[in-house]
Amino acid sequence: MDPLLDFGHHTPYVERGLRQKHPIVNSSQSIKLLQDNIALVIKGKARVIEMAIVCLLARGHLLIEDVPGVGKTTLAHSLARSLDCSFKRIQFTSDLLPSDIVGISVFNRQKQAFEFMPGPLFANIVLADEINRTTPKTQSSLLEAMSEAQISVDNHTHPLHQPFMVIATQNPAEYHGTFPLPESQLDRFLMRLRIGYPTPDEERKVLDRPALLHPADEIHAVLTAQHILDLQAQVEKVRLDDSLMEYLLAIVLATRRHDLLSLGVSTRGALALCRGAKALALVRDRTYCLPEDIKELAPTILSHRVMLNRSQGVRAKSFDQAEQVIQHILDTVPVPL
Amino acid sequence: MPLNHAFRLSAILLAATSFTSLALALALPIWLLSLASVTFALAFLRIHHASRISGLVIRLRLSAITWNVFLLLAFVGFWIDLLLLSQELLPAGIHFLVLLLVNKLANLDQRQDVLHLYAISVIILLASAALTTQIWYAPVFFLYLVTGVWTLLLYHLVKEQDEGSAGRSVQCGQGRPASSPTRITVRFFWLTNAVAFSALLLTLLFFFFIPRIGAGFFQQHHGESLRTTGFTEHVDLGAIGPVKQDPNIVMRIELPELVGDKPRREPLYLRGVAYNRYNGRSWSNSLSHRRMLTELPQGTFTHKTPGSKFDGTTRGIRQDILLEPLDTAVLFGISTPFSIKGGFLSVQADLMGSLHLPFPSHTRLHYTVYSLQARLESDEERVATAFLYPEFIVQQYLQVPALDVQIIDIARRVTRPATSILETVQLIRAHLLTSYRYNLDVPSLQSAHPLEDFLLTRKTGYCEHYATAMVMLLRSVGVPARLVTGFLATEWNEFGNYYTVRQRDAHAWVEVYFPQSGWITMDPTPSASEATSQTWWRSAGSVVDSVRLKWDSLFINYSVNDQFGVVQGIRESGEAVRTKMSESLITMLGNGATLLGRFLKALIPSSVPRTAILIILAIMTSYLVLHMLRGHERGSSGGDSYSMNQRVVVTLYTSMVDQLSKHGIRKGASTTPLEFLHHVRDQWPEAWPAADALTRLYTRVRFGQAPLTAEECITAQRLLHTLQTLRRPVHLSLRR
Repeated sequence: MDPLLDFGHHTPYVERGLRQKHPIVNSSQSIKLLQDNIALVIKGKARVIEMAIVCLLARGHLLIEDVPGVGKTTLAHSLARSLDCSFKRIQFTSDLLPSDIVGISVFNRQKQAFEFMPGPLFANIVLADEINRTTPKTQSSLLEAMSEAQISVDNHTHPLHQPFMVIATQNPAEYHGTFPLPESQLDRFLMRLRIGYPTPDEERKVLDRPALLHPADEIHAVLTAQHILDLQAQVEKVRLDDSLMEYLLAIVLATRRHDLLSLGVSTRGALALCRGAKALALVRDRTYCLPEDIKELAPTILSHRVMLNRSQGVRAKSFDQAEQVIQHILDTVPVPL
Repeated sequence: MPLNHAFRLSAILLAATSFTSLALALALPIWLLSLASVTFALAFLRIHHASRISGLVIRLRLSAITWNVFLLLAFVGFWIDLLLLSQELLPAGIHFLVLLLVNKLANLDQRQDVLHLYAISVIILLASAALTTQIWYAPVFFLYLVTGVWTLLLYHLVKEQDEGSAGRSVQCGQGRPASSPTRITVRFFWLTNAVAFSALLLTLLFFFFIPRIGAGFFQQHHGESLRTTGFTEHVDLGAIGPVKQDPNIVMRIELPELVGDKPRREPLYLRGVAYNRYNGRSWSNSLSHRRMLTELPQGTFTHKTPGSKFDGTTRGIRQDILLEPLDTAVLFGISTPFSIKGGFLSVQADLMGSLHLPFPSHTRLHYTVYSLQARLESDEERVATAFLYPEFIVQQYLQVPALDVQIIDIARRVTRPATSILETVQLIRAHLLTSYRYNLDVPSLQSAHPLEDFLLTRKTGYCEHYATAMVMLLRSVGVPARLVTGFLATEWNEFGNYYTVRQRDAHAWVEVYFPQSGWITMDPTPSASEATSQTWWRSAGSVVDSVRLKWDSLFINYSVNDQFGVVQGIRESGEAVRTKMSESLITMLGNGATLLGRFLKALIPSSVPRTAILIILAIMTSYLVLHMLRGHERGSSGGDSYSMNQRVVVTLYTSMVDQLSKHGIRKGASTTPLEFLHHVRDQWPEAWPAADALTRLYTRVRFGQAPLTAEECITAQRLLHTLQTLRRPVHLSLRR
């Protein structure tokens, strides 16, 4: 299993974690703790961190799309390290097979029976690095696991761990030897994020830091898996006013009717926006959604789900354009009073 | 008839109807009455433009200024009327209303004027409704309903016509074809009437089936209690005078348990108050100490006189009595009442069995009395005159004032042949009946010895003289007796099957104590040979009275209980039909199919109506739910389904946004509250704290459904005020 890099469990760190020093009282405190912990590693990207946490709390999967070397892997890594969860990283290559990520049944000579050897997907947080470098066959086996939260091998269904979150990265700049994910499969990701270059000041802070092999090793787990499950349950209880639901639906409907889009947002997309808005409200320490939550998340959550009418070839450009179209829609749909 | 013509005519008719009702209900001043009549006449005449008189009438019109002055004077007059003349709101208001009506009638030019007239007439009709419970109100009200429907329909048509013609003139021929008629046909007339009738029918249905609130308020002041000229609680023979033949109805008595047997024609003695002490001039009651009756469940009060032979379980003669408001608290009933049922809080009785309320009632009373009529025992004849009465009776009922010796002589002489008490009583009664003449026209004079006057010198008198004389004669020969006053019901209404009792039926009679039978009613007064002439007007009068009673019981006193009764009756009859159907079904199917019949009985009669009801209910519920859901959707998209708090904060927030937009900071439709707040902070930092607090409150209540306290409201208002007073620096607005 050469392409797999197993980071193993982080239980030793948990004992020394911040959790012991700061007993967690409520959801806003635990979220703040998580944010601050990640911010120790990822400098000056508060919004990206927030979005990643929203994605986690909304039970979604995250697609990070950016040029190499801006901290995609580090973000995923530090998020996983901040939680007392199992973390696996899969480096996607063109020769990766579905059984490499899902697992395989091996014949056990002592027991005279096949035994299932779980693959790296059996973890709470899975980093799928450079997902567009592998074949569609392997891609789809991952995507199935993402939507069903379970995998089937040899007529046996194996539920995945909870919480389960896939953080996939892809590099929009290189196209040689890649298998770009079609929009229908992109739909499985709750949001698509770009990290972007840091500002010079922030970059200086990164450079000033003592050289470490893995900056994420600095931090310790602050929350357990149970904390995350509790927070995810709380997201469901966040109140979304009927008028905001109308607003959300109006946005979704506008993408389906927009001239520049050949494919609008699916119902899954609407559901994702709804759940994301609730998670964002919780992250911002509210028990109810505001129009802001929807408006702010809409580009992130919707732009990878729509298909532009023309210029499908240039993906980087289409990403920007799709965001522009969504932004335009947001500027026209009236906010409920 | 042209449309406009008909419209005006119906409006005037409407006003005339309501005015008629008012004039019937209340004695209006003559000048007001004549002014209104003249105005009505003029208004009617003015409709016919063609005739020669109307030309004159039209020329008679006063200018608008005159009418305004008239209105002003009327308003001033209203205050004068209210404060000085009638000193009450209702009459003053009504006079003012009539003046308003006159003003409107004289200026019936615009379409709106008719609407005003309509409103005024409604108020007038309501006022007259508050003033009366008389039966004539029903036809007037019905007439008003019909004319009201005419007027409203015609108003609509005229309005449509006017707008249609206006639209046509603007659009130069492109307007829609004239669909509204310009003339009123006979068919239209009848159609309108049909609409009115069906509306009335529907209203009646509602009246009988929908629960209502008590109408006691309006009835409270209708006709203050009758001054009982006939019946008084004091019997003063000294102050005698001609008794008025007052035909006012005092009460109506139904005998529901005796109606089926035979029409009762024999007179009923309705006992009021009894007296035991006579001082030579007037009667008084030394046993007037009252005690409360025991209350049984269902508002029944039982009366247990000491030594009486009956208890609460005995059922005597039942009388349903409808008593008009009197200025006495006495309750009447056949002798001897032992239980009484009605909407009373408490009932009191004195030691002689008279029933009293704690205070006189101002409303009509409807109550039921159960009485046990004491009968003369047959062995009474055998009781010798020298009977030894109980101590209590001797003390209370044998008192005699200092009378003329001749009176005692008369008593002795008359009763000399008697061998028993009964005979003594009969002899005295016969003597009074034969030797004296009944006459109501007793010369009015103050007499110191009224009884001597009656018995020895004048020898004419009325019931009180007779009764007093009998009691005194009996007592002077040692027979206990007492005087009773009340009403003698003789007038039987065949149409309604009840007795009508009038003021003039007030009566006084005697109760004699017999050793075996107790107190027995005796009447020494010769029946004043009343003219029982069954003339047509008399029977017509009784028809009217029975209709009035029905009107009273069906409409005026129609209560929730009666509604229950109606519904119960319908349900019971439905039940009866159902069982009958199922029975006939079973017999039809015969013995062989009994099983099937039983099955059908179980299935059809019970479950079909139930299923039908269930289906109807389900349809209604789903319709309601759908309606609500649709309303909800519409509301949430259109902003209508706010809760109270949400509406308040939305209003606050929009006024804040308006306020800020006056200073150049505008909120786009797609701008969210917090984005707008950021704008405010960037462009006008001074306004930011207030805007921030307001936006927080708004988002919390609007989207978070947080409760809104009164303090928060006040704070928000204050913040809004601060925003209003803030001045935005000029250079900042220029920067935009």
